[in-house]
Amino acid sequence: MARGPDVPKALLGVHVLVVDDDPAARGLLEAVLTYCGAFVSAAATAREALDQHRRQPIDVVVAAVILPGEDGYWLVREIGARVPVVALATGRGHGPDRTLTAGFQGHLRKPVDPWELCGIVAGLARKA
Amino acid sequence: MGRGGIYSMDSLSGVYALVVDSEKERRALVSGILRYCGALVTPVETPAAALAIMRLLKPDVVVVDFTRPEDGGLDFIRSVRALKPEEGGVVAAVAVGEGGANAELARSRGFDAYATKPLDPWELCRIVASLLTT
Repeated sequence: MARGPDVPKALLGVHVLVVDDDPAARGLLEAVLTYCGAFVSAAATAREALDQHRRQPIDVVVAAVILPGEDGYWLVREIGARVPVVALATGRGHGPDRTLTAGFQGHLRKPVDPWELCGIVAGLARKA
Repeated sequence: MGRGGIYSMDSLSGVYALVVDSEKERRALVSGILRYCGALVTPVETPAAALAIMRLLKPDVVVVDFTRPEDGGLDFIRSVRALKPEEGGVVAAVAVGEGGANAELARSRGFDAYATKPLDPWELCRIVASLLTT
């Protein structure tokens, strides 16, 4: 997504759920998505994310692939058919070949370009 | 209309800035200026905290206190420039300090620009914007 006055409106009206067990990472991702205009909810675990998805309509999920307990792959199996999930991956072993095949609809490798994050979420929200 | 004009309100829209400054009031001032100009800003106290954030998110620019370079500014820019491009090593970097010899030092060690105190808010926003125009 290009810099400029449109960035803060890119995700207006979009409800994004951020799933990451690291509170600092969760806060930063929330700040980026909020800046881009999204309404953001957050969960620390995959089970908590599934719970939130049952209780409220969510447009796009952004989830760490590696999570304590049930991981991002589990979450995608549970909700991937109903809501697009973007993978936040670290290191080797979880490349786009694996995540996209598993059902994630987007793939980002840390460190993430914040505007690429907003762009990918915007694209998936439009499709939904 | 003030000197900044309407231009200043969104001149840094879609810019992610990491502000690194150990002194609370200065950190709030620099962050406040950049936010006013439209940037998304994360203020941090230490270079270690900034590097931790850079493992998750790539900032467009780092704005670093350079009042006493030996207090961390020099180490920080060295660590940043040692990162690979895909890890954020090519980020734009602005040093903020008293000017004089430190301005030269900052540039020679890898900063792209130097903002001299007392800060002119619009000048700071212009400096950052000019570094990001491609």
